[in-house]
Amino acid sequence: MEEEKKSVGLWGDAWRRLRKNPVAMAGLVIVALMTLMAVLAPVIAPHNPNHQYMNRGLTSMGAPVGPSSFFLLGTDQNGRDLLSRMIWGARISLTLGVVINSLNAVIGIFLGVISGYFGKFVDTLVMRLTDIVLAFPFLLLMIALLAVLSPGMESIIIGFVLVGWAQYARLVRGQVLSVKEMEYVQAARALGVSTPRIIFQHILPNVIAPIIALFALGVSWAIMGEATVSFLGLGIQAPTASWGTMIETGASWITSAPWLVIYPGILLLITVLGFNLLGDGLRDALDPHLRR
Amino acid sequence: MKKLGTKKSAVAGVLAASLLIVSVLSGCGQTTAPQAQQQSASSSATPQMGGVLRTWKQYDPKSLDPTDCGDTDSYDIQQNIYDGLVMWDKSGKEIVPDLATALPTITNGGKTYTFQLRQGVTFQNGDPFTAADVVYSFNREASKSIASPGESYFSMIKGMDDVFAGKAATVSGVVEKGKYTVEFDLTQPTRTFLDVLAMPYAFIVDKKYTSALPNQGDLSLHPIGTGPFMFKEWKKGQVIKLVRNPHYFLKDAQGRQLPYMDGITWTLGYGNSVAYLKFKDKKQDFSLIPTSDYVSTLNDPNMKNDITSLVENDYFYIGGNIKKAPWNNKLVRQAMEYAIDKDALVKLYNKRIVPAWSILPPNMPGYQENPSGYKYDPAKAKELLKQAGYPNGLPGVHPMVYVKNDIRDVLAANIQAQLAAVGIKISLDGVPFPKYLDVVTKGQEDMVYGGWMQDYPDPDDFLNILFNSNQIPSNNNVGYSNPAVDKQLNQLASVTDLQKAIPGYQAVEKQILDDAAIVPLYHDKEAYLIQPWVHNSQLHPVYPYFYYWTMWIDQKAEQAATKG
Repeated sequence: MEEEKKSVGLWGDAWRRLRKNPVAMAGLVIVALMTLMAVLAPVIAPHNPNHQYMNRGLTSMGAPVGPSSFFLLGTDQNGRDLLSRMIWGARISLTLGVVINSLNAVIGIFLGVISGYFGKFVDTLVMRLTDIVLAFPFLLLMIALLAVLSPGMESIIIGFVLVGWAQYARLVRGQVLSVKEMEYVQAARALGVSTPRIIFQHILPNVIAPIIALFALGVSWAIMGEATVSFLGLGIQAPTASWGTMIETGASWITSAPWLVIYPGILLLITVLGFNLLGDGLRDALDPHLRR
Repeated sequence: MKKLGTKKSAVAGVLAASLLIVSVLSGCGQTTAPQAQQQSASSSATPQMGGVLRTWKQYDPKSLDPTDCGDTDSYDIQQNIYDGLVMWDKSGKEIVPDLATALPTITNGGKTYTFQLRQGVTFQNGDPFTAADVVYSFNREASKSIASPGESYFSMIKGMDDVFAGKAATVSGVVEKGKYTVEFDLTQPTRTFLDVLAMPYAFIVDKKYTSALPNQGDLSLHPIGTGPFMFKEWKKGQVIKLVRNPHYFLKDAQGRQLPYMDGITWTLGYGNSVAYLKFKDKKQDFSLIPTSDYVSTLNDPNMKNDITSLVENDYFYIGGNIKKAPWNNKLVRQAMEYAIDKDALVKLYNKRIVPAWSILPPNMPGYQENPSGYKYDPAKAKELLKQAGYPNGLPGVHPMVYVKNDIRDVLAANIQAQLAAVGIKISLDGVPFPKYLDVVTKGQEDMVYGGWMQDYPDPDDFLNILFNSNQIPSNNNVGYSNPAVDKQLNQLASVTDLQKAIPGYQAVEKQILDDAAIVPLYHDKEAYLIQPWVHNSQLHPVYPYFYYWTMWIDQKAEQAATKG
């Protein structure tokens, strides 16, 4: 009985604590809604996000039209429905966030584990590499990279993974360093359990919790980063709707048609906030030291 | 007009792609041009000396070396630093002497031009200007190692092409006949020869200074000429500064030394929207009007007086690279002719452009509204694609290169959607102007959305330069080649009376469009802003910019306005 409660306990307890944290739950709700919006984009978007309404969607002098019952949030500079583009843009943002962080997590965990577990030369090598990556000005790297590769989704993923794994590696290494000195690991080693098995069965499951928190924060980092890079014109390419691109192309209209910037900006803000709140909440919930 | 009554071939080109302005011109005889309606320039006031014009460019110019002056941005700056033997007058109707004392004497049945040069003119470093500099400059333009994209404009000069091809050491057709006398020998009479001499490629550089440069590319960074303003600095992506040349050889009608202004400063590196805000804030004397602010500017009681608008002799187009599949298939190209609703572009551009169904712009001699009778018909476009063997549309995604700015992005996105609707998928490759020039003048693009602004008011400048196969790829960017068209263009260039050549040009234009070499999109009617304290800000009639050396600034008015 006692034993069972403990083993289920890590996750069950974390969920219990997360639920008690209203701020984190707000983050979770936002994330869930955004995910739902991204998944259901074809169903809920009122218009084709790429259709240019040359008559209805533009004034006679070619300016975007403001919110109306037909275009709930108005149109953009090409006469496209802004709301529909924002909804479809969620797909890009979330897909990038998840793909980038999954790759980062895989690379980071692998390097972090071998660095932490084997120590010595391997550790020095991996950690110095991590230092270099973390010290490099991210935006500069992205600009240089996208100048070489052509801008687009693949290039963004490559760039974000080039730097993003380092956070994971450093975090995992720290965890592994402490876990590998635990008695159960020492015991496994004494019993002659193979190294891969020790790593996968005994160490990894015990370092996974903080990675989940980092993942949530990483998604918000990637979404913001995509918007930044797209804002510089180096990211997602037309006509695909992405929040960053929408804000970039709408920027010059800020005085005459402010909705072009304001609505995608607010959506970006809420989404990033949601992932940050959830990430912080998870970090607290999964931290054994904060367990009450 | 008349003086051009010379002869033959010639070509010339200034890649227009860039922004603004320009009024129109005339061609031998006819003409034109809606001069800018300048509310701001009161001609009655007496010009004042001093002041610095604070103007702007989105991108760095490609070069400050005349041998690489094929674009409007480079031209705008270089025209202040250098002079040619001749230039266009302010009306844009006549070629007048510049470094020459008079128009040349023409002998030998129109094949020999003899110029007398001004004496006492010095370069900005003090070196005296002589006939040797003229000979040197043309040899430099012809040089194989420099590989000027403008060399072919001077093919009518004897020996020019031989030097360019490495077959001769010096240009036999440019001869120093005395310290201040130069003779040009042409292979055949050429109607547009003086037009071409007024082009920036024919600017004169200092032989002593330039030949001593360790690297010929250095001239672009440290240019020296005889022009009204001297180069001071160029911080890439930030600023270009020119200052008054106190020894400039021209004076105004009242005998005052030109230029009036102390200098010109172009700030670089930001787009229309920022330029517009700086103009509004009175921190900049010139700006274009972003699409987003056009309507509000027209309705602004203060700013509407600062607007000048004019019709430009230019045209914008899209085209696939005919050297590559699938654009080598005429049916595919014809499908594109029917695929674009040009009225949509006009609307997106605040109705500041007119739809184009022709290559020659409305104020160009020989203009025809729609020689090939195309119209917007997406069903027909699909049908033609089907006939071409693409019933499901073209395979792949074709990148379209263009000069990135606020309005082109919007128009390109619309073109993208329109082409997609008939089954042609493109991606948008908006790049800075110098990068664009690098790609298209080497014929490396898949698709291009570009523009051409006239060099001189003669259909030769659009049809011969852009579609003669001898201009591939430097100006004939799409790689159009039709031997019958080449033959006709070459022959038309030697017709000395433009009026007689016009029916021929019209037939050629129709043929080029029947072949669907490019899809014409629109001609510009540009509008821009100039501060009220800047006077004489009339545009260069042939090229798209100001006659900076006769502009002047009412400094009291400027100070009062900027303080307030």
